Amino acid sequence: MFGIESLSGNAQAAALVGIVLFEAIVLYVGYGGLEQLFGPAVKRVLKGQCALVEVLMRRCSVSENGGGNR
Amino acid sequence: MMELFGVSATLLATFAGFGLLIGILFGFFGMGGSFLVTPALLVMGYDANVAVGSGLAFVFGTSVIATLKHRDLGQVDYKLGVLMIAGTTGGIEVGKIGLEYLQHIGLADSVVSVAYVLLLGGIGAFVTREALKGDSDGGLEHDVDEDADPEDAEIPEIAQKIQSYNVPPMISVRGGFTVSLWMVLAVAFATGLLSGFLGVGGGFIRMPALFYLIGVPVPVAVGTDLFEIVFSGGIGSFLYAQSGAVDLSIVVPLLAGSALGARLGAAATSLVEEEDIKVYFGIMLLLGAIAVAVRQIGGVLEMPVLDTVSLVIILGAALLVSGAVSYSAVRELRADANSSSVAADV
Repeated sequence: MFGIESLSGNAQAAALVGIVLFEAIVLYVGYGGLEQLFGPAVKRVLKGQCALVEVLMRRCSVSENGGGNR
Repeated sequence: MMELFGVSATLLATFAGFGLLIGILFGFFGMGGSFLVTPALLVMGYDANVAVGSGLAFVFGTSVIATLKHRDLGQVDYKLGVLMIAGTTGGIEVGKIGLEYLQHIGLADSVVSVAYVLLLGGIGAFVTREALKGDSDGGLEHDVDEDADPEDAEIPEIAQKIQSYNVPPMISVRGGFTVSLWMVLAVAFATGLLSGFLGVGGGFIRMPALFYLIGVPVPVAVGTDLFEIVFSGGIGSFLYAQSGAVDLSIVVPLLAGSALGARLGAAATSLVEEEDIKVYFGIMLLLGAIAVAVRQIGGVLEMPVLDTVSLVIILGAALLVSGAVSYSAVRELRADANSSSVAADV
């Protein structure tokens, strides 16, 4: 997987740890971005202020100051 | 069947789903990675070294993500973390020597199994009892407030005693108090000793030790513990990877699922009541102790079916506790929403 089989010993071990570290950072940044984009909408769904369908149809305001359904 | 990088898509999805479950627990408690992943991989038929090596690599990745998240919430004490790493490393070395001696006289398996069950069960029972007897208006704040008066915080009695020893140099710890550097090193050494002796990551020992022995607020104890796991997990997975025991087709999907779960779990620590966190943690450890005990009994009686029973208990505990954590977080979120809408109406 990922073509690191040709490396040997310490180099392969370091590459494996590096891949895991890289994936961790990419996931942290990626999920962080998704959280910023969709977090407020998901939070309103969890709070029971909007239905999932309303969020998907963009009928739910995500502003914290009152918002409510349009 | 559909394949990605030569691995079945179903297997990748299973690992990602399992990762999500573990991630919630890991982000919430700062423990539970190898404790859950390694036995599951063993029952799935992977070799012991691959199960342990891949489990360690997964714990390393998850702890990196969870530490970054806890850092964002101001819940990592780096100075304390570095001191804990130093003390723990020394303790692990001494613990390993003790274990090697037991192996030499042929008592390692039975002594370690009994010690593991007693420790898991003991800490689980202690944490649950303390949480259940504590009054609901006590406890510590989840969000770390640098300006908070430490007098307001409920510090466990043992931690108050340890904090009272003024052996210089004294160090200030996040949460607004000072403690002797030697006491921190002694606690770290003791947890490392147990960790090396039992051959486990030690999150379930360090997190309660940081809270009950040093008096660090629970969210900071979780964040600091995760910071330490980044180093122990990184070194451990490198050592296993040298012998080719880290399987990326396990680690990559597990990590993808757990990264999302860890984000949810870490966010939930700021929502769920402190006493609830302790109760869930205690239940998790108690069920873990039962699972290990069942597996050991299965080994003695030569009944492999008990290995499966043990795994079902572990997975059931993970599902139950992560479900309870998610439910509590959503309930608190809804309660906050209701109280702010009432306040807005007034």
